[in-house]
Amino acid sequence: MKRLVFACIALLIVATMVACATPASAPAPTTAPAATGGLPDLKGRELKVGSDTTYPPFESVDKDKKIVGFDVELVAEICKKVNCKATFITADFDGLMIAVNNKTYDFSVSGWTITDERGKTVDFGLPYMQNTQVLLVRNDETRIKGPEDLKKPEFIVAVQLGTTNAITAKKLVADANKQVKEFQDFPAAVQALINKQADAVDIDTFAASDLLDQNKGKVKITGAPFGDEFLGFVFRKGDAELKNAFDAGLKAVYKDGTWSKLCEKWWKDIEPKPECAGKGLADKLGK
Amino acid sequence: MPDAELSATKKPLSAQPGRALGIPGIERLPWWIIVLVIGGIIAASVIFTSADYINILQILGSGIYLTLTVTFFAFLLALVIGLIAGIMRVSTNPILYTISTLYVEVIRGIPLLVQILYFFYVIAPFFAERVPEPMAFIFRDEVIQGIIALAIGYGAYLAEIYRAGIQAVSRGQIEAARSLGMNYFQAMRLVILPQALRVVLPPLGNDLVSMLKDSALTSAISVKELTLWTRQRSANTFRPLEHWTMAALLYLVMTLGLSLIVRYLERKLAIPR
Repeated sequence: MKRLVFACIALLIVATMVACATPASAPAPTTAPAATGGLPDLKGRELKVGSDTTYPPFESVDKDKKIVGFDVELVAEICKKVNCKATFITADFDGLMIAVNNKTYDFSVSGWTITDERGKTVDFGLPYMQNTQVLLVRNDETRIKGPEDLKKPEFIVAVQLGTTNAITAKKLVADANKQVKEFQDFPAAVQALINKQADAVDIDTFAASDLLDQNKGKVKITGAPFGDEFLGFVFRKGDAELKNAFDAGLKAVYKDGTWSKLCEKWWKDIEPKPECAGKGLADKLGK
Repeated sequence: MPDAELSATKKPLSAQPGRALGIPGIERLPWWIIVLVIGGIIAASVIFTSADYINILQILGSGIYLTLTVTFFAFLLALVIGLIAGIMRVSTNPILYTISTLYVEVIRGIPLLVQILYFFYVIAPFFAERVPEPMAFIFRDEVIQGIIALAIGYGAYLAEIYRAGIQAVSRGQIEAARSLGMNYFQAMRLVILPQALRVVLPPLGNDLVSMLKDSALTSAISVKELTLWTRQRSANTFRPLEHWTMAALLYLVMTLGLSLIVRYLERKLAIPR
């Protein structure tokens, strides 16, 4: 009797798996337009893009529950050039790289700063944005005038877990253990700042624009931007096909002015904004 | 392979593992403990012979202190909240009963993680702005925020445990106490609660262990306990396997240790039968 029940359950599981697998294995051949102009052709491949969508204006979820932002449209434009279809999927930032290497996602676009350390684990595409970091403080703050003030042990910096801002903040303060608080996302870090649980937020300059706009009158930027970094797409180590296609596609959208148009669009009414003519990228992407 | 199966089915005695070995009583040995101990020895020998693992253990170890602190204080606070709400739950006063029932039902209907985030985003900022300055630090320290949020969340479950314990003491006890001239609170404190405590100790112990595990949720509001340390180190080093294995083992050691303490207390306070 027991065996019979067991056999029935086993059969059911197998049947379910087969039933689930059948539609997935036979996707309708999409009649995507062929790629043009000697660019690589991904043949209409459907790509899953892992992204922490709490980072406006790079990527965030809008009121219609759609994932929108500069990164999303940039990837879509590149996909038009190299013939692919990209879907953004939300995930926690600190696990994203590992998820890309585990093939949970095909690649990741999430405002990633290119660093040598990360480059040992994943492959970065060409830079698509030049960036700096900046300190946010409460509006009435007068004690912190720039990153060098964070050496004083009474100040606490809030950052997002796993970001280069977290790494930088730990170098700026005297005691990394006590003075740096790490949150799941930047909105939480800013909330902590407003609630006086932290005295400053270290954030990428162009990601600060939207948070500043949303918290008008509560937070401000202090001091000049510091550091000089580039953002890039994150590909699985050794995935040359995807990397080369997106590098070529990025160059193409940069050359034909699409990149500048997207930049103008997403930083339209907010400050600070990137230099949308893109001169800083010219030597990397060619103009 | 089929041969082995055939020979096994021919021996009806082999239905019980102990009989198959011919040693009486062997089936009653706590096999799971033995497996656990052997697993623990293997894990320890791997960990303590690898410099990498020792390094990870040292780094993650600094999170244990906060995990235990948060659990300890949150449980202490939850015991108080639970006791008050539990006594109110058996009260005949309709106002007290309604308040505590509302609390229990609302809190039990909301996931703990949501409660913690709600406390961080909504309740703490509300009070931090209104409470006078020397006291406002309570709502500005994420460790205290985590402790309060966990305690409020667990208080509701503990209230129900206390209520069940109080109701398990027979009615005759309170009637006898009252007829001796005790008032309601004397009867509660001297007669009912000491008896109820014995009944509620096992479920309270379970909740203590489960709170230790749930303290991981406070990592969402940047309480730097074991889970946040693990997330952070795993993200920085890109070595999730070693870090999360170590975190799981550390939690396991803590919860098993706590369970043993709770069991010892249970046995000591058990009603002799």
